[in-house]
Amino acid sequence: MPLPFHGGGLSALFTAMKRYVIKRLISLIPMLLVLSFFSFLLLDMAPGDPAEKKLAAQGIAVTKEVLDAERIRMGLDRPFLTRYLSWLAGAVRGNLGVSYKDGFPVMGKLLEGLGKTCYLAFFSMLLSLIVAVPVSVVSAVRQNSVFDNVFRVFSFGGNSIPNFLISVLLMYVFCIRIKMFPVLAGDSFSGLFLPVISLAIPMAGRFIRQFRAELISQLEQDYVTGIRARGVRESIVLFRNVLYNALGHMITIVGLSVGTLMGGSVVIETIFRWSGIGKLVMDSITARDYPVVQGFVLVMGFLYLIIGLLTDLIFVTIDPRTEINS
Amino acid sequence: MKQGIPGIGGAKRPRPNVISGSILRRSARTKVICIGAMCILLILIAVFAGKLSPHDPNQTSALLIRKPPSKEYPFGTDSFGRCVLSRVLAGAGTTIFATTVLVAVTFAIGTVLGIISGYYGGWADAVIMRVTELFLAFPQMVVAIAVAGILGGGLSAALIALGVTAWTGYAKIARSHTLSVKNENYIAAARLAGLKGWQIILFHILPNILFPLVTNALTQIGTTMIGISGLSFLGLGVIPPQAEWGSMINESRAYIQLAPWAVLYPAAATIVTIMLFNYLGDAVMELRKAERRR
Repeated sequence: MPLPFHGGGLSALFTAMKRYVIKRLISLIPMLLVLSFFSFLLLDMAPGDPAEKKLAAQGIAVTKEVLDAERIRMGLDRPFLTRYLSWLAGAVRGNLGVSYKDGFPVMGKLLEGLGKTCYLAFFSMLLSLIVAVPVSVVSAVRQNSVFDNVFRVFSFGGNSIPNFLISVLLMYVFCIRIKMFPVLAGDSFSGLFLPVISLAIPMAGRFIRQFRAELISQLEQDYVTGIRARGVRESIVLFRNVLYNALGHMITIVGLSVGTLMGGSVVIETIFRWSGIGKLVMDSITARDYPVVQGFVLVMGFLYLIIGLLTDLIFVTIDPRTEINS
Repeated sequence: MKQGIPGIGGAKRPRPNVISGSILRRSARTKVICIGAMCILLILIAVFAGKLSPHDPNQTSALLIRKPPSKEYPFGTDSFGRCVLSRVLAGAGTTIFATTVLVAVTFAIGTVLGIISGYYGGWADAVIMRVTELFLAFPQMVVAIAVAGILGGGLSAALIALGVTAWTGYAKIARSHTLSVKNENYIAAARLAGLKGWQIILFHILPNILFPLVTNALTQIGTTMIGISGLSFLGLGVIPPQAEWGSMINESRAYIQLAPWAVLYPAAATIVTIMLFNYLGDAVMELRKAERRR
């Protein structure tokens, strides 16, 4: 199938891009609907009566009259679909209901935690990329060297050790054995080191493995042989051609890892008492404050979908041959 | 950097593989057998944990709180005075059993859906694949934590929570392998012989694609263990006092200064087990690659 922008120059490429973006945005709508339905369903999956749980969470003695009044106030007397649609109408405007525990809007709580989580996630992503990109390039170029083998062991270990274990072990070594960091540093900057490292080690391990495989598969392709045959310097081959061609896949790998990062941050924040969205959701689970948990799934799922869309768009921008046609 | 004249790329180029396929295959097979034997040994330990453990894993004792490792209690005791060695052994059973159940069930569901989708095509394919993509689009641990949290803990809730998204990968792989054999002559022959759809799937497609599918499932064991122990660590997995490594580490980490053995032994057990199963996955993948070169 000929490329839509074949011979048409840049303007045709932009038209094709625009069409692709619109198509992807439209395909996002059913995804978001399912996500919202799933999040709404979560609340109904919880064992027991929501009104009773809300009253219990607020410490109000449950009598039949109070319960019935609360059920009507919460709209529980209406059919499921009606409740879903009115909840959805609110969710679209950023209203995710109020917390069972203290009556504050869920959205505000989530956004506050999200900021802190992003702070943590940003630094761990940065650290793992700073480690993984150079290491994977050297490993791919010098396959089976000592360097490659050492980092293969590291990346295998990073893939095999759950991050809660990494953080507990790091805490044991750095806080208790050599007392380099305080055990509970709170949200201060010095408290950032250990959580960031705990999140970054498994991620760097996975990146090294996947980046290396991608770079090797690029290095084995015919165009590399062709460029080398023309006498182009190896550094140019590597940095201008191979790395650029691998970039799309590398960004996709990074984008997919955001989901793992979201799950990992719940664990890490709970251990290090980092008051991000992950700790918020764990506290809410303990307190049976389900609207916050529901909002968490919705917000994280939404972000994950958006990040997936963005990585796909970056991929297509870098390598327009691939997806625009399909 | 040096430019290579002899050959292309010279020293920079990975050396062409001069080792013959049969040697590669044999070494890969040896590796799989060795690692597989170690994994089976681990499973046997888990099965016979009750016979091997020196004490009852749930026996508490006020006199034995946080005692360091000794002859009587080789891994020490935890903050309830329970024998850590016995609990580590009992935890092996919990972890391996839960992982096996989860991988087997999600593998079966995913594979059936994937083969149906690949073999029949049409609207069945469209529906199944749309649903698969929807579930693939959710971040797995986020969904698992929320579902397990709302279902209110317990091992079965944790397995359901992880299973909600875990089957998608198997479905995609089963579908693509089905598509690659669907147009082979032997399928056409089977159809001409008058076999029904389910018979072709069961007796002709499944046996031919089972090896790569099982290989892929084996590589997922390690990841699944990480997920289960992570949920247990958060208190969303097993209900205490049932022994599970993740929850043991969580229970004991507050006393890590006083009794590091109660954390470090289950931690070591977790790391060794996951590494072993991940290594098994890698070895089986390598074997598959070597077989394919034939």
